[in-house]
Amino acid sequence: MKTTVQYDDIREFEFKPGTTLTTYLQLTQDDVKSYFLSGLSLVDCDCPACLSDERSEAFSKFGLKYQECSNCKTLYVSPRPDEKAIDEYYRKSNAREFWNQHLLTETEAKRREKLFKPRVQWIIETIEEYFPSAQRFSSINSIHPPFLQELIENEFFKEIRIVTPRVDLSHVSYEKTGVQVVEDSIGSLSDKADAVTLFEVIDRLSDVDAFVGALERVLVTGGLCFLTTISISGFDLQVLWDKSNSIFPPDRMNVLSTEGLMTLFERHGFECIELSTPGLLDVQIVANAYKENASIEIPRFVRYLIDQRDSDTLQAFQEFLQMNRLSSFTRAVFQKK
Amino acid sequence: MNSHTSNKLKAGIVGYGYMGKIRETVVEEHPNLELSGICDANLPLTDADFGCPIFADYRDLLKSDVDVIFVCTPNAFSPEIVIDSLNRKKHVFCEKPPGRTVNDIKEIIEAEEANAPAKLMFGFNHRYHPCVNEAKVLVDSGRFGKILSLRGVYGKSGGLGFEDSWRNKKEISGGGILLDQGIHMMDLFRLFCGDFQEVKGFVTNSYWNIDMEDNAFAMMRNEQGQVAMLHSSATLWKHTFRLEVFMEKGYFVISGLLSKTGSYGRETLVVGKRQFEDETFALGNPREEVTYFDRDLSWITEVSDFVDCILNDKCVTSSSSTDALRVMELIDRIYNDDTKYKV
Repeated sequence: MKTTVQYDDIREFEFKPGTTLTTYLQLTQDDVKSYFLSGLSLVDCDCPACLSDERSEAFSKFGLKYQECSNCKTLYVSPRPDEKAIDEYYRKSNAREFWNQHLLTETEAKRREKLFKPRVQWIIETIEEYFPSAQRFSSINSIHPPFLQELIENEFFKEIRIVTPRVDLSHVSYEKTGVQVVEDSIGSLSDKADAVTLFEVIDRLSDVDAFVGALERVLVTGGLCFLTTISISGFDLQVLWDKSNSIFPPDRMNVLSTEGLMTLFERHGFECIELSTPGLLDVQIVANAYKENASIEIPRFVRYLIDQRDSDTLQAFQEFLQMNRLSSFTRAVFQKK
Repeated sequence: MNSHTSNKLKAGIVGYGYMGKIRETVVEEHPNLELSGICDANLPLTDADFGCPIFADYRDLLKSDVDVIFVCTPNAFSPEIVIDSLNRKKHVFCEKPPGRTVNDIKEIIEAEEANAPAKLMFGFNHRYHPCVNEAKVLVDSGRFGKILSLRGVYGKSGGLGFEDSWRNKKEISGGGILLDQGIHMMDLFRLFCGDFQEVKGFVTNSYWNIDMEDNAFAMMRNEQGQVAMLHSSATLWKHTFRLEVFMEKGYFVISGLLSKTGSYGRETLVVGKRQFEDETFALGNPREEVTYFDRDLSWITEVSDFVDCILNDKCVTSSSSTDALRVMELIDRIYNDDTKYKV
């Protein structure tokens, strides 16, 4: 297993412009109320990562309760809406529409250059090393047009598929690009895949265990799963906790710890090839949150660090977080045994 | 040679020192290998202690029905054992170096050719370290252009008892730090750049009271103009492994090495991409990506390659006898290039 540390110059607002993000959060709160809190029966669940039923209530967000697993420290919503209700939410909610129309559009150029180009390189290099014969690729439950564009232009895979029940694809045409679109869940697939991507997917599933079980059946032996998520082991999430703008349902219904993530995939017969937390923004996010709202309670040491130390020290601290898998942005590669 | 209908090969280990114990673990972990005997003249233990027969003489082990022999003995003894094993139609995995001299490996190759299809592989396990694998994939992808030069430092801290090790007795080892440890770096140079035609070397005995070199410095150039520099040393006072690969569009730095004790530091691959800037304002500090590796799979992976060659009757193409011959020839040229080197 390996972990990767990256040095680059990215600012929080480049991907999440402040005012746009505020609107998105407000819309999400409204939608959660109308989709999940108005008569829908919510389902109680155990830890989605390690399946432990021991937990303590952490806090509530938008009317839904977050629990902290006593075993692996994963943070998760319980009780929660079922998969069907969440699929419906992602197809029709105002928040999602706003995300696609504004947040993604406004930051598309930056995202393509700084996020998706390196991400495609990451996938290609990992496949060349660990499964060079991979030809069939599927993007599961997420559509990132700049990512797919990069992938298509690289001409690395013979077959590219999008599999998702969650996005209304009627207005998107991939016909000319040769990308196959399956508007259904991963469990419905009969064709095998050599490599799949789960970008921010684990975070918003109702039944994580069933999903990873289905993934195991879809991947060929030796097949690779590329995953990005946020981890509750990360510095900014641990420090800001309920005040973090990154933790809210349903986008972040499951915020797994790094230990929980490993347990989940190993339980389903995967071997971890890479688990990195190459996040660049943890310290910046905490500093920004503290500057915007000085009444936020953060540990004295962190306050001192932010108030008194220069940018070189903060950058070194961020690198320390990456080296020790303590940044919240997580990327991982799991190989089916 | 037995036919391998069961996909399970019987393995014997000759030499039960540091490397022999590592090979024992690998054999026990490998699904296609079964430990069938250990030979070590100095072993005070019995069959019952190991769960397999124990031999004092390797010839007795060769008489048994083992398919594969792991030769983990000091350099002076390896060639004879390898040749006898091949002549008995056994597949042989031999630790590096393949003897003390170029002549040793030439004689081994004669036996290999006479006993085909018995397979022969040498333990250049550094090729299989995860950081080297990853760097090789990046080099082969062509995205960084061609290799311009290599620079490698491989060294030991030395320590109490260093002079007393068999590795530092010329009649047993045949060479000092270059043959013992530098050989791995030389092998990696060849892995990345192929053979080198020009060789310049300085070989010194600067500190330790041994009858061989404790430092070797070499510069080599191949027909493509790629230059490799080596410093192999027993006087770095800190276990050190560092290989730098400079390419047209960037560079890789492999440093640290996963080992039993972790004394070479965390195994790390730094990938830097060339960023030409206006020279007036150049910071000379391009974006880098650093990867840390947690698990050393080199021992099991190299043996898996070897087993695959045996079971599927494939040619040994990595860590082959040709690789061993070429690297021994380079080392021999380094020794001979320094006319002032006397011990």
